[in-house]
Amino acid sequence: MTDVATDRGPAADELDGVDLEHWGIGTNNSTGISNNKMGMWLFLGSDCLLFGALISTYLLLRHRGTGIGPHDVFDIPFTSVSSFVLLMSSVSMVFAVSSIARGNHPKLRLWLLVTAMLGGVFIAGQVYEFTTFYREGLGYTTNLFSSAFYSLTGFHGVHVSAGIVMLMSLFVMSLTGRLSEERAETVEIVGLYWHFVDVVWVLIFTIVYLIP
Amino acid sequence: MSTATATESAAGQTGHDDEHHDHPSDAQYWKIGGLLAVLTLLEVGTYFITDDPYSHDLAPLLIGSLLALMVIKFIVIISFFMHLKFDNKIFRWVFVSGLVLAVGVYLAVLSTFAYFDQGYEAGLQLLQ
Repeated sequence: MTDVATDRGPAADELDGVDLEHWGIGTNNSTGISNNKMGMWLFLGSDCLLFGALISTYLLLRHRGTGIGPHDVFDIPFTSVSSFVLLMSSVSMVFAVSSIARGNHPKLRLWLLVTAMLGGVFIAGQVYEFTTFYREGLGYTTNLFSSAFYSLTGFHGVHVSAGIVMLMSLFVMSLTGRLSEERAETVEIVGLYWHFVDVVWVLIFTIVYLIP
Repeated sequence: MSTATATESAAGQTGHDDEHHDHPSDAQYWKIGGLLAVLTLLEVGTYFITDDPYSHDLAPLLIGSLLALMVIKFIVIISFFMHLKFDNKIFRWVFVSGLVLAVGVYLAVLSTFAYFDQGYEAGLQLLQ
């Protein structure tokens, strides 16, 4: 033990009592920025390119080809409600993040569950919408519009579904006591992903549905 | 180096002191949520004016308003809910870089297709 204490050196002794983790030293890097958080931001930045490709493909193809078009199938009041639900899930997510920052675990679980449920309602709405469109004759390969539309909104739906899995994982971790206040950043990172999914829908709702 | 000096030095080197400060309170989050809901209602309201903004007499106003509302909602969410306004500026740069790259690349693609549109249409007709 004595050797170990000696190996720490005088510089380490001077830092005794300093909350190194608070200042981003030790667990992170020289910038003081969390690697995990930076990783999520890098992922979100690159995901902009994925959705950018899908949106621009949709814009290019929506009026090309023949057959059923956006005006024939879209149900704007229904999609507006879905959009509102997803928007409100972002509000519940910020409360989940602020709950764990305060160490309020019951509220954290409540808001995580609310967020996941709102996400589930959105996905249920999307499944209903896709089913309705299919029954009206708009399959994935019906025309260029349908392929572009299903690809764009389908990819977004997959993102939302992955987000729900993350939220439920956090919920279970919290229930089993594996999500302490020290791991609040994990909830924040999942929150970033969830808000990104919401913000992408803000674009899709306007560009695809409201400006058909 | 005293403990206090070490702490200050660490803060100065890492820039960590500008993180996690001035985040909105719960009441402010509710207000922001309300604002987003109102903006969404305004967006949906345009549908009840017309379901085809391109053909309407007020097309420039309607489409311009929808795009403006979309951009405002986008900025509000990434600034306040994703904390880009309060977090380290590096995160802002990372995200905005991806966003600008995406918008730039796809505007170029769209412009290219628009420029060669006639040839593209002819090709499609041949395929069909």
